[in-house]
Amino acid sequence: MKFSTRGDKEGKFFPLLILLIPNMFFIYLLNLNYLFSSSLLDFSGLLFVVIFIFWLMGVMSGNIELIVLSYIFSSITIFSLYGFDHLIIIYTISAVLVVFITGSISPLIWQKAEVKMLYSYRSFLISIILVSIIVAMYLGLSIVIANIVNNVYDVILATTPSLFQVVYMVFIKTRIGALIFVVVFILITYYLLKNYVRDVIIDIFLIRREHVSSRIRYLIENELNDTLNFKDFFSKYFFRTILFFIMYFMYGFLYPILKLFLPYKSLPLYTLWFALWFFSSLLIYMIMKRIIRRLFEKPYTPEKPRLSYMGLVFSSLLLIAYILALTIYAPNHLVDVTMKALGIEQTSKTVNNGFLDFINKSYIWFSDNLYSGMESYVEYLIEAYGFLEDVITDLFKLLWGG
Amino acid sequence: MGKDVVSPIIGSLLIGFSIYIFLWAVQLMIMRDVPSSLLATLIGFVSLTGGVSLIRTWSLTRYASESEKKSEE
Repeated sequence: MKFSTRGDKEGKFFPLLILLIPNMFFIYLLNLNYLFSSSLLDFSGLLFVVIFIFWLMGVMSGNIELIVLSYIFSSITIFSLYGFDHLIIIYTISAVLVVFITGSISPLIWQKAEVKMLYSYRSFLISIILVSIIVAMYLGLSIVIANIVNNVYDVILATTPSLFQVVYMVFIKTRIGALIFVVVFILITYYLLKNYVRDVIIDIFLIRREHVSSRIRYLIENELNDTLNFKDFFSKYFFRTILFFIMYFMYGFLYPILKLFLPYKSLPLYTLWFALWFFSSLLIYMIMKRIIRRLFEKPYTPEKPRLSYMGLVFSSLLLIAYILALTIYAPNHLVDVTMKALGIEQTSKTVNNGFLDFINKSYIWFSDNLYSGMESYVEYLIEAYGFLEDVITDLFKLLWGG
Repeated sequence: MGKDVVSPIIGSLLIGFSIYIFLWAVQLMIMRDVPSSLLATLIGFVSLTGGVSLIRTWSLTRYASESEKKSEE
């Protein structure tokens, strides 16, 4: 018995042909229309470039999800930029048609021997119900996520320290930051389409009770295994998003180097700078990834149980050093400070000791400077990204002779 | 047998004490009593790492003795 499970080899020529039939019909209406009518350099232009690349990649590789994704995001983008337009309906219909035509015709071509055996009205009904539940869940989840994204700034204002507010503000203020958000959102939708929605739709005409049970068992086993080994989508996605963020903030640190390269206007130097940017971010990402994994991974190894007292030794050494410093520089206040630290004595007397004053003042200096330092770094980032946009504009003009 | 119970209890007590002292350190920091807060934080770290080490030592020893018993059988 053969089922259309994930990862099946399905040939090369026919999938491409079937994919192209519905797409040829809509091709003249595709993103190209808006891509060339809007300026390539404003935000919507950049968005359409991204969407068009997705569509092209989908057609070239015979990947249905990418094509559907480009249709869906075209509709959303047109709606958010220009309001309701008749193109939205065409995009939506084409997305649905692509899925259903490829989903229903492909089994007829590749599995015609088994199709007669597998068709049944009952399985069709069950699969329709299953698909409706999944789509409803997906839509509900999207609405919840969209609401969270909409309200996230208010939430951040209400709950987090002002330092994070500044960081978040700069990220959504710069167009490249906003573009990263859009790409991240596109990737989530792509994953959901690929792994959950599409498989079920394709199985509509093939589904059987045994198949459903084996599919559910396979999904649960697979997901559990992946989650335990940090290979599930969300942990992978979490780590990739960290890389985006690191690259975004590393750019600020490397901006002075880019400025040095700029007068020479040579492509090898730009490539070198980009490699430096990417690999330095990758290095920090790898280190952070290792630290996070070590924090969350199960350290239990039955073959070689190891016990380390490093944490205890290190913290004890720090405590001894601090107590020694207190006994040397503030011997009269040692008992008082210890009592207060343990919560036995709660009165706060004014102390006249140089060492204790120094600690107090250094902490206040550090807090003040951390905030103002972050704020100036964020202003610097805005300036640096404005500069990057200028560079990209120059590059576009150079390539297209604008 | 008595020894088996004492170390996890002491370890848990140390961890509980470290949580109390960390919270108190935050309170002291709000009161702008930085030297006491720093001392409280360091005491908290020592008791936390001490408690965790104690519990880990206890569980690993148990594991080792159990596997020894199994290999003897």
